[in-house]
Amino acid sequence: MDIFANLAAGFDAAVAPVTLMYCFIGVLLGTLVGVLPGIGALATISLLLPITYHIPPGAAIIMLAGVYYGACYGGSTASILLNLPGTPSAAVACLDGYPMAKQGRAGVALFMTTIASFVGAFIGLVILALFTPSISELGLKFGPAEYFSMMLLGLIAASTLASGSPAKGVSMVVLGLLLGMVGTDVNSGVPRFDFDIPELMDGINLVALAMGVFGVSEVIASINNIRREGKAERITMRSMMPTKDDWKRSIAPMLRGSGVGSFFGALPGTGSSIASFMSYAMEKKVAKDPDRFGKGAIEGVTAPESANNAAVQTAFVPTLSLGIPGDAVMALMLGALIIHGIQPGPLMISEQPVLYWGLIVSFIIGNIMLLILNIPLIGVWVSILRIPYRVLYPAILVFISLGVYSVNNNTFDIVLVAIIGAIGYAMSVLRFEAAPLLLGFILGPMMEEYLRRAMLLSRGDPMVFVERPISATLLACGVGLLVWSIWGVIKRTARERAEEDAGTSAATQST
Amino acid sequence: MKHKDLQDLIGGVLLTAVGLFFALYSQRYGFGTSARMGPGYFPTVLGWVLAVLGVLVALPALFRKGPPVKVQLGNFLFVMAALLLFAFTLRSLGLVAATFIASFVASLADRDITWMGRVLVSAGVTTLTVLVFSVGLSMVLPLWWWNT
Repeated sequence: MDIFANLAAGFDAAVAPVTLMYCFIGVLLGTLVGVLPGIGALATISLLLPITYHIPPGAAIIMLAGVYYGACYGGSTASILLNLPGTPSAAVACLDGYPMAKQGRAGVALFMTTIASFVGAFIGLVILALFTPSISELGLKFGPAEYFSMMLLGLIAASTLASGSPAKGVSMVVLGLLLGMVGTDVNSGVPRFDFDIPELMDGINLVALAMGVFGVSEVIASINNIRREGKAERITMRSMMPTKDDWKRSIAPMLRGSGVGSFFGALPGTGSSIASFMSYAMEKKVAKDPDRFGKGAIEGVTAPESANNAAVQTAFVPTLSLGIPGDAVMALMLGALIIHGIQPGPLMISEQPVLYWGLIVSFIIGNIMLLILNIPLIGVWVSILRIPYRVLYPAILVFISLGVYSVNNNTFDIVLVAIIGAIGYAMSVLRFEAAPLLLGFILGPMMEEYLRRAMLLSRGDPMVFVERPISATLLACGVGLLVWSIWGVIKRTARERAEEDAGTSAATQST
Repeated sequence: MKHKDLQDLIGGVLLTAVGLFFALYSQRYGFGTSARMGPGYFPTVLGWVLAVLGVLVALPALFRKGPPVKVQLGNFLFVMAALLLFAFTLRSLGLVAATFIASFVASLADRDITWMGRVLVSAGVTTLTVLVFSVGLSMVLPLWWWNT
């Protein structure tokens, strides 16, 4: 197949004025809801879903996709300015973005995330367009055992990222997996842990969980702590300009992040959240001075940002080629395609080439729009910082509630947000990380499904996970990571104890 | 600095309790065999794993010192009250009243704001919410209680 002929056909479809308009609406709305904490792509896409019944399928998907990757650009803005992720996958951007803002480098952080987003999205797009056949072939080789091992590796990587002990990180993953068990079991139809509440039959609402552990608990912790009325410095064009050092530190991490993101985005079952966490973990591990991370390291912002934007683009690979959604948003996109009578699967690209290639060209156009939209508008987003938190937090709470309500039109989900918010606050008081919990929750039901299938195929023999080479490699990587992080803790404790002893002996000597 | 590491101690004990709860509650679902797993298999295993992890978190905490646990109870209670009030008044009182009540209760958590300030903030949040969700995103919600 001639890729250029395909691209040309796609170009014709994507530059039609109506399509361009829906693309623009999508990315603008996406940036907006991405910036606003408490309402994300998931809620917005579900809000827009009924509207798309009345527009052509190509334009509908282009608009919804625009919301998705636009939110990815905007998501990090609130992370940097308010330490409150605008979207769940932007949670990583808090770790170093917020310290950067505190150091008065919010402008640089925002400028660099936009550049990093564009680089990541562009690389992800190239991979989406060029390697779709080979990536889907690789995916086709995956049996249930490989899927399970892949997810296990992702979870181990995510939990070793927790700054405290690996035991705390892994326990959060397991708690997330358990929360993912709530709802009707797909295999047997038995409702589990529903406590006879009908709303829990479909499981815990993902948006409610994400907003509860990230949004509500953060609001509670911030109310009487954030005091910066009128103190936020004005961001000038000059303060936005990154230094030579920022560029130098960012180029390699952006490329590495794009690579990590493209890889994890393309794998069915993993998505932009895992990609950004993995990329952050990777930068922390390869860095010469990992102590800078968490204190405003520029590569801790740019690498995950490239990764989640790349992942958002390549997330379309499994969805479009295999019909397997990588995350909840992709599941909604899949639903939108099916509503329009298009069955996503291996046959879609050959049966609907104009739709597929039109989508790809529209992504290129949409990302260029976002680049233009985001750099001049950085000043507008920064002005959010000047609004005192006392004005902002009641609005955040109401937006969280309405965003969650809009997913199922159900007030029970708001009650659920309150309950999960209470758990999330307890976690933050006791210094447990929320991100591994969210990942465990998303992957829980899928992992259980693949575990069951793998064990069914092997007739109950667990050796299947180490006998298959791909699965064995993935598991070995996971075990390696775990051993590495435990070793790190042992070394750190030993050092601290030595310092403490040195301190006491010094104190004894001086007296 | 005489404290034990209370954060990990409490956290670990809670995790063990939650793990045991899931493991024991799963008894009511069929366990199955490893070749044909029932609905209880995965949660039972995970529950026990969590219980063990909780012990692993709590045990070392007994032998080291840690920072004291700080809870902002006022903030917590007002935020919870705001969310729950919003959930229970949204359908019956309509968007405008529910938003105003929730914002007002949430603003009670802030100690350095005047009563007039609270009313103004709540009115502002209500206007913004109606503009964004009802006008902007055309969400179908009754605005007033006489529309419900």
